[in-house]
Amino acid sequence: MDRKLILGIGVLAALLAPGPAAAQDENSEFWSFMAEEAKSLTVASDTPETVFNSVSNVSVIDRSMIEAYNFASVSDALQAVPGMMVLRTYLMHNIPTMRGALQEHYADKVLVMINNVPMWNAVTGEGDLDRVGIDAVERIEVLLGPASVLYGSNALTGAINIVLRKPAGQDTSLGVAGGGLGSGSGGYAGAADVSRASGLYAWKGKDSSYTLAADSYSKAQPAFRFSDEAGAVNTVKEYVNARSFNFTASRGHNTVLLNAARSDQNYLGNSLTLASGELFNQVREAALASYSYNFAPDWGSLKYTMTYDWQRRNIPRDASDNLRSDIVGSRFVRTLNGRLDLPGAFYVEAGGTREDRHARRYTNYFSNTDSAQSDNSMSGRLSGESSAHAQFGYEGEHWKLLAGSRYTHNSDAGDNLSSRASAIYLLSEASSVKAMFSQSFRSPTPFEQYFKPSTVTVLGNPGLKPERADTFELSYLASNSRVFGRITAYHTSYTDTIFRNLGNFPRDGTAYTDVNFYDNAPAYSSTGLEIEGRYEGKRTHAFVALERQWGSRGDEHQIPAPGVFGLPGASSWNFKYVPAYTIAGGFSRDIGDFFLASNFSGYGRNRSLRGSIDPQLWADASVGYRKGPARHALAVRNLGGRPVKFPEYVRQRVVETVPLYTGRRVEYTFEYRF
Amino acid sequence: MKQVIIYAFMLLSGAPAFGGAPKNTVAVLSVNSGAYLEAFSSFQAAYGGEVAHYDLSSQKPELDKATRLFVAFGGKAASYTYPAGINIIYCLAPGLLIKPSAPEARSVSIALVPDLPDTFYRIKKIQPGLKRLRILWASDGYASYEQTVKETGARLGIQVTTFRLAGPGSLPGALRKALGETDAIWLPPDPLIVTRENLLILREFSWENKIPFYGSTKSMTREGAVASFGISFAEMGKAAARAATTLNAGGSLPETVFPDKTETTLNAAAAAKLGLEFPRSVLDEAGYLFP
Repeated sequence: MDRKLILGIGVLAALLAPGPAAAQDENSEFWSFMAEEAKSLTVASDTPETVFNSVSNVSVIDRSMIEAYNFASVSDALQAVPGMMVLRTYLMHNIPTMRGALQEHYADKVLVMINNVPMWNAVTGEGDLDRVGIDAVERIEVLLGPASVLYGSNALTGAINIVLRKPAGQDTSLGVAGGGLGSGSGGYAGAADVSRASGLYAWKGKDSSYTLAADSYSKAQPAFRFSDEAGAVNTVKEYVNARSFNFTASRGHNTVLLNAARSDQNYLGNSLTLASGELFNQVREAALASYSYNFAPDWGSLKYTMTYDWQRRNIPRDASDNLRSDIVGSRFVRTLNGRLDLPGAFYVEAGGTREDRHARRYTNYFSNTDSAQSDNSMSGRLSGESSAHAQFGYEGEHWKLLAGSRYTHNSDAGDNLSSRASAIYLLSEASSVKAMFSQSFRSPTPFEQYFKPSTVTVLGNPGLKPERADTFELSYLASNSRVFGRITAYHTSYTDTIFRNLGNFPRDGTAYTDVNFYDNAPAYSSTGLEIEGRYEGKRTHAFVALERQWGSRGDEHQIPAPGVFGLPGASSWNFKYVPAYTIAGGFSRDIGDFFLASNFSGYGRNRSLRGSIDPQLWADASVGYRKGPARHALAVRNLGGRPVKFPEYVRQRVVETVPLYTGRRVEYTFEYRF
Repeated sequence: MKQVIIYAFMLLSGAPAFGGAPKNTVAVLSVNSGAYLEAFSSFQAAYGGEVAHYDLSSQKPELDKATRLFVAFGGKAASYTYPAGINIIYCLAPGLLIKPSAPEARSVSIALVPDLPDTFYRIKKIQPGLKRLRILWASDGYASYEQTVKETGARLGIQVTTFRLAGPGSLPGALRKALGETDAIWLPPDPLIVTRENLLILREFSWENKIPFYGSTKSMTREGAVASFGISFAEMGKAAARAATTLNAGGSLPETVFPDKTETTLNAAAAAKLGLEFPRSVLDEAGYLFP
């Protein structure tokens, strides 16, 4: 054969052969495949730290749990966490309470956050669980125990972080529209009032994402007959109507969070009488804007956050709803936190926070003329708090150690140093033992320090010291693919707890007798055991949450006789009103396209000021239907229909109990995903 | 108004709109090209006929009352919300945490790697002195392997440790921590850390510190892994077809199906750099020996 022809055929064959070029194509296909798949996955830094290696005791209620048990609100869902109660006083609904540390009307001992941004009232200190509707929630992270080194003031007994929903993967969106009808208020609402309306749209791309959510939720319980402090019996309409708007967006290093909320709720009077506003409406409004810049180079991370949080509360004060109080405050917070990864498995976390609080007003005014009656010594009060913290940590394969401190200077309440140390031993990826010591504090609010109304209901105490808590905890956590369990033993010492005392009190040269005033309590302590169990089967879900507490009487003090109805005086202390046992549980089962769910909560025998309260138990039951993108559920709330009581532990005069639930409600809800 | 009534009916009944001919089996591809198309084509051939399929990047899948099985090719397709009560096969979804299927339905994942004892046994044949093996991963889907890999390794006399990376950029730190603590590294096909840049880093680390690294795909071997034991996209498609046939016949399957045919690829340069020699039995099994 001609040599040139052979050579030519050879060259042509070489060009056509599936050699390196084809291999390169195959290689490119693989890399395209890996890049495409990476879009569907979430890096660990976007996912919550696991409960096993977290340096705190964290309990998580995620979306699947919210849907499995058909929880109606953030407050309802929180009752699935051991050590957590959501209480009500005569002024406020939905007060998150941890490990029995009561907090009168204002939930200021538990920090409430949205997407890790703290939000609370600058005048009275309380966080608000109704600033996010349950349909907008991806998960609720509950940090049990003191957390001041992490979060500063207000995380005295723990913290609740409400995380907004977002799509699972890259280049995906999530749309949800929902609604509901509720009944059972016995006169206040009709048989089928709109109890819920919500809409959410979220999108996630490669380097950006956003979530937009609007929720409206109405919880109108059956009306009840209430005997007040003056002995008058009135029909009270028990309700909380909450509306919220949330928007969060991130692009590159930047994240924005906007929140606006309003809730209307009934009020039992600021001194439990018709003459002090009982039966009228209370309004809470809030708006928050937060911006953060996250920078994560190879050597660690930096995060700067700037937040403005504005809150208003408007409350009735008299029998004609003419005299009302308008309470407005705001907080401006700047935080810089960083982490530096050191050689080996060591790291340092450090940061600083500056917070300017403005108690703008607590004004009593006549609503018919809009004229002021009293400024309650609360107008335009500015205070500031600066803090710096540092923690040194080690993250080995089995050991995780962390120790650090936060120093805080409050312009009105002095200095504080809180520390903590944690040691976690990871027995495996799914089991660990934790030993922790943590300290926390809370600076008194402007209301607790300076409030002085013209007709004295309660007096502020300018000499208040920050309240503190020191806790030792030991936990064991374990899970296999379907069962999770946690058992925690803890001991907490409370020092200088701020509480509402009753007696004689001098202020600004005047000696007030038999008044409520804020005071620091003598030291007391509690020891507790928390047990949490969860089962996540393919079709069956269940949980149980138990707490047993032993509280000391170190803060015991005498309450004088109220001087009416021949009632005697009594002694009072925090853990007098805290049940020794609390229990919650739930069960959910999928049957074809249908599901059944039931959850219950309760507590053991308890005490009120002069009497005792029988064990209380309440349960919800739901039946639902899920098909494709639609979900329908019919729920009976407080199935037994019996009123559920809790001790009146704030005013401590005549009224012995307030209702947590007044009767049975029926609620239908639907959801459509697109 | 008519649209409103139809929409309201759909909303209340939960019934999606149907169209087209009955489709007993429906395939959903993240993208109708590349690896997904290759696996799907292989699936279709092994399944014995044309299967209705949808490209999720451009359209939403439709189904009718006859649909009994979805086969998802890719993580995006696997993440899609499917109607309850229909069997699902997940294919080509590495690292994705597959949630339990809806009631009255079964779900099966097709593995991207050979069964673990098989992989570790082959690594041990190449590196007989192997005592400590570190596995690096980042995606949620690999978390469930934690206990299994340790137990499997223990049976072969290998102490397996796992290390979860926070993200693709965390590899250098993870490698620093591995120094002095491991004799070899194995990388599963985790899209969050398997990038060209990371494989370059891993190769440099491996050769410099004389710590062999093993991969799970042919491409990893090309980039410097001593060896990889993986499954080809076509083989995964065939395994999905076999699983589909079994499910349609009412048969039972484990939650994860490991395809039979392992693709062994070797890198001669990497082995030489690390002072390893491939035994004859390994060379005989190998489909590729990269120079």
